[in-house]
Amino acid sequence: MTQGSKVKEWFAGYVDAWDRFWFQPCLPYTVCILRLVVGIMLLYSHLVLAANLTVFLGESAWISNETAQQLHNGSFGFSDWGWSYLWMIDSPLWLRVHHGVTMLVTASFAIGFLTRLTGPLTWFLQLMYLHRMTGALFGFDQIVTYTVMYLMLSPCGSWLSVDAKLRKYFAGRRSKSGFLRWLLPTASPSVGANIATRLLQLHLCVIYLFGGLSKARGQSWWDGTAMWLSVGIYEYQSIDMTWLSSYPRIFTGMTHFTLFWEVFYCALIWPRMTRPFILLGAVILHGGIALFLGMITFGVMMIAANGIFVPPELIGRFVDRKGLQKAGVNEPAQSGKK
Amino acid sequence: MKAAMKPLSRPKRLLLSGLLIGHLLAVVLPPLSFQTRGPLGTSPSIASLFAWFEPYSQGLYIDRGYAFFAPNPGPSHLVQAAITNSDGERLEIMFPDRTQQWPRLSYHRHFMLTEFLEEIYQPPGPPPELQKLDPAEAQYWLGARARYERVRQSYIEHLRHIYPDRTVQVRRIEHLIPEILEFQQRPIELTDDSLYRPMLDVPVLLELDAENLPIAKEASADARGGESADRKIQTDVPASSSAPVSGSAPVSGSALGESR
Repeated sequence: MTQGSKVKEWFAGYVDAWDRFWFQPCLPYTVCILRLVVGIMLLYSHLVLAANLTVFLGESAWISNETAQQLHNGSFGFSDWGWSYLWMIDSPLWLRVHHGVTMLVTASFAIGFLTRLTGPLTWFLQLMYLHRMTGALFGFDQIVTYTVMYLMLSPCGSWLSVDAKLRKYFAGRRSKSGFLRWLLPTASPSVGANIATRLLQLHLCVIYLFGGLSKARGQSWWDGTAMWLSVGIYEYQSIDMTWLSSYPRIFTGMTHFTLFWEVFYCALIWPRMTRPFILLGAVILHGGIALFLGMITFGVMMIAANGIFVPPELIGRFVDRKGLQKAGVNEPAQSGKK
Repeated sequence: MKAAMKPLSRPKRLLLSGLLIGHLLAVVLPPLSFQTRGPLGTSPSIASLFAWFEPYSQGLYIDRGYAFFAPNPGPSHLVQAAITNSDGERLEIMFPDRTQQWPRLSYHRHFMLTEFLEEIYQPPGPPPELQKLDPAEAQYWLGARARYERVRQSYIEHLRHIYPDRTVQVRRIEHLIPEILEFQQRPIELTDDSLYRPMLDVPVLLELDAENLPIAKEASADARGGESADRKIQTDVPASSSAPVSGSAPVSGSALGESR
């Protein structure tokens, strides 16, 4: 074999691996479950906002429409590409009408009703709220929005959904109409499900890598006191954990675990051997944040997002064996392999 | 796996690959840009690359730093308001307040608003010396100060809307975390009065002489970083007072009160 053909073979192998990673069709079970969870979480967020709508939106909000617009449009010398039509809606009535429509669309997405349409619409509406509510946002808003953004690329409404019922109801018409086949997809392997899965997986890796690296710049994450400082912030506290101060070995151990888990997540989440332990770490870490640091929505949503690393075939084997056989899947997951 | 669908054609795979790589760059570059930022600004190589993806990242709200509780978990920042009616009766409230904002998600959004005011804080200025040494930096200072004042004024107007025909004054309060060694020897409540400090709003030059100008410039760079990143920073506000303040401490009638 010549040097040239060796390079060619290496390159072909690389392209093949890239294709398998991104374009191998995968079952939609994981994305369907995630749609249900993120849909409910986002609906809850909108519901809470509905009770305080004019506190956060409109002309008399904490950050008024005009101020919100100025924070983005360069009035103070800082501009960005964030834009929202909500900057222009002053009327409380119209804000309520708009919010009602948003909640209806989000609820439809959660239950998987016309998901091909309500998915992108849910994401777009959420994006408009984010660019309007500058200053009042935190990690929960980020992870919810990113998850919806990736799920809308997949047939996440094909299972555990109203769309699945509609698909059966319109089975005859669906076989003749390309539009209906697109609108009501089957729960079979698809490239869209794989691309959405990979994008969310990689985005999580980026979040944890930079979360870990930025912590690594702080002394308290190395001397172990960061966990004490975290439980010592009264505004975050939901359960008093200051008793931890009497157990330095425990709180410093928790600090070191958090730092190393975040830094190495992006490497150890991929091998099958280490993945369960990393996912267990996610449940412990985010469960702790949810229970003790008062960020229940953020903690729950991060645990749910980590579920994207659960192979869909594994879910299928437990909950939809018939569907799995129908889709022609007899072997355990391939999509979980790197 | 017996996939029912046809594999994607090569042109489609190429196109999708290009889009995916572009999107992933737009995901990675914002936190990288944030981490490669120093006293001299962002690393030029990262800044140049990120400039291409900035509109996309910002438009999709993926321009985040992901620096949660980093580099160190720091003190909280609250807003205290004094609301006075024409008879001189005064109501004092502190934000966020778990007893007033419920459920927790609503409370947390209020907490983020008070932290946001701290993140964008810029002292009055710029110092006259800076105008001569670095006019661009002085211009930046003015913009950052105007932004802080606009947001603070918006908070005041919101409270005026809730409490019409009353005077509203606000100030920022820092809620400190007890030192671990002190806490082990003498545990106190996290809500102990000694842990609350008002944040002064005074020109930097009142505290610094001309030799300290580089510190003033550094504070300005910090405020710039706060715009696009959700970091929890130990804010190095040079003018914070060490005088304790209780939840019922008067806001008005003091140099600390910021009112309109």
